[in-house]
Amino acid sequence: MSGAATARTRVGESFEAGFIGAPSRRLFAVRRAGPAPAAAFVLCPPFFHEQFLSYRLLSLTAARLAARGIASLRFDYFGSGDSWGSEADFSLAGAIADTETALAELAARLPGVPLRLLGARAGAWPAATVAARHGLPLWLWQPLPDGAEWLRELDARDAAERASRLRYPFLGRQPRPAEPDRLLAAFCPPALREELAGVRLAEATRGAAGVVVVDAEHAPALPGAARTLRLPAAAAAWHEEITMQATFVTPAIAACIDALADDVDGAAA
Amino acid sequence: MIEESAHDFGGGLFGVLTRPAERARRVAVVLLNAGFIHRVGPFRLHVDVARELAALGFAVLRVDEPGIGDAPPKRGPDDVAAVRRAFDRLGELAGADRFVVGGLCSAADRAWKVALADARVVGALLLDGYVRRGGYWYRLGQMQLLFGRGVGAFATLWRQFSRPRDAADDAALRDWPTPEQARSGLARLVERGVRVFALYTGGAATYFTHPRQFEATYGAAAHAAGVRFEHWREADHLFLQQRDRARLIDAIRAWCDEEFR
Repeated sequence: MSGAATARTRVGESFEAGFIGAPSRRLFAVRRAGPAPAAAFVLCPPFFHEQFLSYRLLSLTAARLAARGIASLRFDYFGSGDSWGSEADFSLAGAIADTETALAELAARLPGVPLRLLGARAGAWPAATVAARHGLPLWLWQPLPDGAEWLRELDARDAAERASRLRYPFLGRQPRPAEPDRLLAAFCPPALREELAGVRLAEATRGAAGVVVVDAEHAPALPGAARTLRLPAAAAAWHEEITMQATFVTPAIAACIDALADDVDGAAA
Repeated sequence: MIEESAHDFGGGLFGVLTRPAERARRVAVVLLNAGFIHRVGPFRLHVDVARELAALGFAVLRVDEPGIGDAPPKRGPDDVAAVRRAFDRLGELAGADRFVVGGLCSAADRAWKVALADARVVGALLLDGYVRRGGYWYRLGQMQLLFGRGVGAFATLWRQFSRPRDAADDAALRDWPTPEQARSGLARLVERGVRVFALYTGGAATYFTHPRQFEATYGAAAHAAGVRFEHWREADHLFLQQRDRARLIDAIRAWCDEEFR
């Protein structure tokens, strides 16, 4: 990790945060590793507002896996989170390139350690693409199967939020006007919409070495998944409200994380 | 040109420092967590604020307080001490010896306590912070809300108006001073020369509906020269729309530039 970074030890794990990648495309990344990790994964976060809604959950997931001997590198896509760039710089192709950067960084840091990818929600798309390219195992956390369908959901939520008197108590009789090229709070111009609308997760995962999915109890199964771990509705609902809340690791979530760690143990056996 | 770096401040505090490549101003800005949202803020608001202020010459720290983002779990109740330790470290990292502290919602609550506890604080940014709920002005604001929505909303609003307070209301969820502490606290800050920017959104309508509540809560100090008060009733609590975020960033940038030269 180049540039100013921070390193420390938390109960047997090393934690390092800083920037990776080329000077023109600096990505914020957090690396966690226990001593002699059995495996390591790159974590691709969700897109748009779901990135901050999921942050604590995914940070705690990485910490729990580190305690099981599985190292990780989490990062923010260029133009999102703590990474450099403005929101106008974000694209799906860029997110895939950033995932490659993160994978190369992790491989350089942990030579010889088996690698895999974890994608959460829309982060499943860059994670699946890169896992398929390299023939690596893939974990998916509540993955979005279809980009066009997700855009329709976001459009509907955008309209609902603008008309919501819970969000805008002083709203008159008309909803707040839509903002050009915005989807909820995120900048989403036509070129990005087109990229997202073309995503089919089942196609993107072809070539990955083995796919394990963590998903809500009633979510449809992903074709080709080797295994699906189920979350109760309450543990899967974190993305449904845009608030200041965070999701923490409940026993049901912990069981899924531990099952992912067992998946690594099984592969090693 | 600006630079960014990650830092562990100890005591459970983690953060990203944004600063100008050249020497920064002696006043640094510390943005605290809005609820459980990590250091980037809602919709990356803190990142945008930090980069705008760094372009003006301020060092800006966006923190994860204990139990939030990448910070370790919370171990003790002393939020104020953790932020004060970050001030010490910012002095070493950025040469700052005076601080503006603040943020949205729970961040405003903690900023208030830090500002009262630490004489190095010269500015407090209080977004949807405390005011006393109830009283004439609050009720008048509720009535204005009612008329603004038309007859169809009467039943809903009447239920809100007449419902008994329960344990889940704002005061129970927030770390607020008593009305007496609020009034004397602002007077102390004004006496110290601390600049205060208190902004309330329409999203705070569960406890703030009318601009005169601010004076009713804080008394004469509410009108002091160093106290700036605004009520943006059209904005929501998280500044979801870009137009609201852009307006907020402009307001914070102008306030910092004018008050902390």
